[in-house]
Amino acid sequence: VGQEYFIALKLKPYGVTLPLNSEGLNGEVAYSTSCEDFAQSIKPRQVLSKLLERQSFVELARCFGIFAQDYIAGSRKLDVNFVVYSKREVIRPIDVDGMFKEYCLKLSLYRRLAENRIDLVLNLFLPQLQVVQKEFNLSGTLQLRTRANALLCATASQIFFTIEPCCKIACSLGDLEFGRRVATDAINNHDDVFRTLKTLARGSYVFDFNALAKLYAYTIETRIVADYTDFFHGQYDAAQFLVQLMLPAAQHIFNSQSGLLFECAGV
Amino acid sequence: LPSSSYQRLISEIHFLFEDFADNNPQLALRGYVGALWSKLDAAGYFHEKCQEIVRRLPEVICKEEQLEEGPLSINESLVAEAQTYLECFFYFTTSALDILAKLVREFYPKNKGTIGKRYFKQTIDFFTTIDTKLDPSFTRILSANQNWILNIYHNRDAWAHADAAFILFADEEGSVVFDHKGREGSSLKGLPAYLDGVITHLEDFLSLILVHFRAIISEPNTKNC
Repeated sequence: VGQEYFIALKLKPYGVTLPLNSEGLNGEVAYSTSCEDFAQSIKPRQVLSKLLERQSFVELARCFGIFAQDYIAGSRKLDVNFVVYSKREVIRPIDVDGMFKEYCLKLSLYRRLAENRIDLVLNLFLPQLQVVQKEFNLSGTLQLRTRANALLCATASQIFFTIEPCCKIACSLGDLEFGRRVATDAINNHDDVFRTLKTLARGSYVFDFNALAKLYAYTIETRIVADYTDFFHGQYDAAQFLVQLMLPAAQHIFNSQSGLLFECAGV
Repeated sequence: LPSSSYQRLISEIHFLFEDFADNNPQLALRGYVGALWSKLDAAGYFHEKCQEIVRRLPEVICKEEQLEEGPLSINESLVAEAQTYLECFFYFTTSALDILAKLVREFYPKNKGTIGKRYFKQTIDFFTTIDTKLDPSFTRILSANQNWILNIYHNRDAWAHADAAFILFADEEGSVVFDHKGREGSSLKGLPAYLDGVITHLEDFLSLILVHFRAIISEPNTKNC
């Protein structure tokens, strides 16, 4: 699984293992053009055919690791600017609208959904995947192989559905209109989430919303690959990518957004 | 594991579309054909996993309720598993149908541009509303099946973006129900019966698809192909 890029790097306090970029730990990160292109758009149907080559996906995995490092670096400190902005420009107006309870309830639900899905991946899918793959290695039956594929693709979907509600938390805390839509149970689709994250990225925050937007875009693309193609069933074994990169990133996003939710809204 | 009849059916579907893809290499459909099979296989797998747990749940809850003290830990974890498998069953069913949408439109080359290729919901809309005369037989199949299919999409979309699957016990006997988020709104439905019903619908629907498109392939001079 693109092992050439995986050099273990333990990042405290979250214990995330991420790949190093070619510049090494302290070097400037150089994104390739394709990395940026993918990350600037969530029109996965248009880029899917480009992604479905092993080398492209190896590149995606490498870029995902770099963006995850950026995100982690930007979320280590309490972002006072963001918290002040959120309290003053988002939460107070929603309170004035009389929608604060509904808003908090929905954000609690998002957090619970994300937490639940991380638990499911860790405690249900990954142990099963391990058992099924071990049995497959011993017996080599096609049936076990297809079971493993199903679990792998389900894991990719569930990790996406962990990251998405976390991104919705970020958007709800930083954008009044998004927050109002959440409070009134209106639909915020993928485009709304991505566009709002990119708007937040233009603010002067410590939090790296640009990196979060890129991680979101890449996670959508990975989920689309898992949902609609057989790419992970032979051409590219995504297990390591999902377990070593995407899941730790999802956990970090969950932890940091939960922290932000508490600081801003006391939820 | 999925029933042998289901396995046989999805294999036949696979062979049918594989033949079509092989005979039309310019359409580059082989990737979709393989994916259709694996997503249908995964749907069958998660359906069985869910059904297996749901069948065990009433007995487990009765046993746990007989304990005087202590948390109901076993049934809680089983419920969480059942909810996840139910979600996965719906995710993979809709993925398979969306892949089917990409294959189906290739059978109508003159109208391909106007038939949606992203979601099977668009295929249903096209044949049952926009153009009911292009292939009346396929329109009949879709009309007869659109209700359960669109309900699966409704549940899947609700679980993916707003909620999660919610399973609970309806009475002291521990009968298992779930919060069905259908086109008509939210309602509690008995889960074992629902799972039996929906897999039957899926098998019947796939059988009709098989017969219909097999007939089109075997008669290449029909007006559509």
